[in-house]
Amino acid sequence: MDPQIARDQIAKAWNAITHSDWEALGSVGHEGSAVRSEGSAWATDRGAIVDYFRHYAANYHLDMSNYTAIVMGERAAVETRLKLTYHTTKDGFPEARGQSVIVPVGTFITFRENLFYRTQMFLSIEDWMRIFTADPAPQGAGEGAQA
Amino acid sequence: MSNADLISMNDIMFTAVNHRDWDNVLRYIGDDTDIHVGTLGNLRGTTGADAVIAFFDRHFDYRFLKWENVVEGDQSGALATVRLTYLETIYGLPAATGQVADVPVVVFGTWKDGRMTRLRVIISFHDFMSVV
Repeated sequence: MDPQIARDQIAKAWNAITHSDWEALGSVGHEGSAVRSEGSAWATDRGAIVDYFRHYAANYHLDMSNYTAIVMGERAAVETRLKLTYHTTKDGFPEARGQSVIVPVGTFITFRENLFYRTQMFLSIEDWMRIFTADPAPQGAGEGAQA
Repeated sequence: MSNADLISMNDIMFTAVNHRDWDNVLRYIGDDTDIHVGTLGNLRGTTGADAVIAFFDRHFDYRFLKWENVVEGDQSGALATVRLTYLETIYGLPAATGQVADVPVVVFGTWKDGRMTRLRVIISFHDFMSVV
């Protein structure tokens, strides 16, 4: 696989997540694609990755624009400094006041026919939970930050 | 450094951790290596690495069961599974009673002249928490 194609597909997907462009995100998935986070079971349908991020986007803005992609053949590892902003209160959780934190995320991708075929995402739930005690961030806070 | 060099160095580090061969781990850590491991905060150099080792030695037995490398240029990424045995209670977590969990670990490195200039370890405690 041409490494530049892999980079372009990652850029398209990460930009789609950042802007909640679910049609664009769905377009990079192989028809036999599967996704999982942490040690969960594989979700095996083409819309799984869209469903995954759409679920979180209901309560959080996910800014995936700060990342480094490592491409080797059909595989890629992506280190993302996710800027997570809590915009809508989640049932049973503390009030959303625009709190923002940086959460390191590791993603491992296997491509097939230049499309996302297997996608595994990992983060520390402790990092994510800091959002509930963080102060509301002024606009632009955290950009370029290394958590 | 070639991709093969990076893969070899990653393989040596994981194997050396399993054997508690700290000389072979720390040979890849410089005095100014930026180290980010889970919630231990931002650490630096061999002193920081010693703190990470001390934390895991205190609370766990641990062994990497498998890992796979993705490398390019001066960057490496590894997706590993570590078997943790929880031996001493971490403040704020349930009591340690020897619970065992296989936990995904992601390791990213930036390399220069055969050493890491930056090391980030993301530990997915989701599975661990479901066991304890």
